[in-house]
Amino acid sequence: MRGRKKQSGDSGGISAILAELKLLLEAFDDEETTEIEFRLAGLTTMFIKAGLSSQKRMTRLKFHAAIQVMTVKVPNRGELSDEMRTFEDLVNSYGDEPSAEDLAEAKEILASVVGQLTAALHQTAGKQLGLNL
Amino acid sequence: MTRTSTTRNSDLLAGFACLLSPKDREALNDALTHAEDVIVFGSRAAEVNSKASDVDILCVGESVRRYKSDQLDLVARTPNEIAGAKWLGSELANHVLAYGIVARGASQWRDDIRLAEAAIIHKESRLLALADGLWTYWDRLHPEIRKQYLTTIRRELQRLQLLGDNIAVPPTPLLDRSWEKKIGAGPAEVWLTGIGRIRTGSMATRERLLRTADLILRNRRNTSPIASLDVSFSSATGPITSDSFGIFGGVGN
Repeated sequence: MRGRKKQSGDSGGISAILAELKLLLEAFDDEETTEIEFRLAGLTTMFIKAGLSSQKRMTRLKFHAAIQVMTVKVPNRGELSDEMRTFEDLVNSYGDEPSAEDLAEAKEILASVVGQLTAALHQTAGKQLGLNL
Repeated sequence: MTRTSTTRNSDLLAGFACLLSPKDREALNDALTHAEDVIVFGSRAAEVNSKASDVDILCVGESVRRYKSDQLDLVARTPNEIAGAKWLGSELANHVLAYGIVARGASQWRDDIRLAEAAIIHKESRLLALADGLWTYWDRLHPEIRKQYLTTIRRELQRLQLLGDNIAVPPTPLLDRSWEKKIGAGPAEVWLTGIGRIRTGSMATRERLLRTADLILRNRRNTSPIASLDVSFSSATGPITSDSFGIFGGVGN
């Protein structure tokens, strides 16, 4: 039997992603930066599984790359991806612990990116369910 | 050879600028406008880069801004930061001293660089957090991302061992070559002995790191590494004891 082509951005996957984005923002104050790093890796996986980002189009499996190739309409996608890359760089603790200023800047970026992604995904989920969200 | 003490090459920057996109070039130009000291480091400075390698540049100045893209990694530090103990004792400062090429400035702070114990402790904490995270999130990660993290942890273990021996950490391609070289020439386990030195973290966390190291070794021997990672963490690692590599004395005891 022929398999049905996976729909781009199924609403079940989007709901889970929206919940995880909210958790990510809430977790930022309490958790280590490595924990945030893994949450973003988990989100990248969710984007791929939900058909929101094509793994084939990603040069690296990082969250900023997942945003860059998202199949749903996101205003200022390029800028959003750049912002996320800056965030990933700010919280990266490879060489040293991020400074308090770095973390404050990172939190601001995360809030902005999560807000914009949430709005875009709400719109997509609403269209799929025939709702005017 | 301390390359930073002998080489001053402002043309170097012009050469690297040619490799960059217009946006990256603009960011570099902006940084150069404000930087007193400029040092190129990483794989391109050591000439062990691939075509895809980014250009790593340290810029010291009051109002230099960090910038990161696929092609360019601008690390920004103020003169105050660069003279502080935190920077002078860091892993990156020691790397810059050993492998960096001075493109601009006197960079006299280089004379005060000494690896600090804090850098080793930070590396231990990072490794333990990575092992904890990988264990916790394993089932939620794409197999390719699992593979990326195993590589990250392996490299960090190599770095920890070097730092413990007071050796500046080389660019990543040299770490990878060194790891690969061990396949035919001797036990890769040698690079993982750094775990035995770790004294921070809980027993459970160190056990997770040990299991991760075991998985790294198993993965290295496997001809189909991605497929082998598409299983649960516990079944991938199986039973493991504190002396699984015959090199650990303290973990789990």
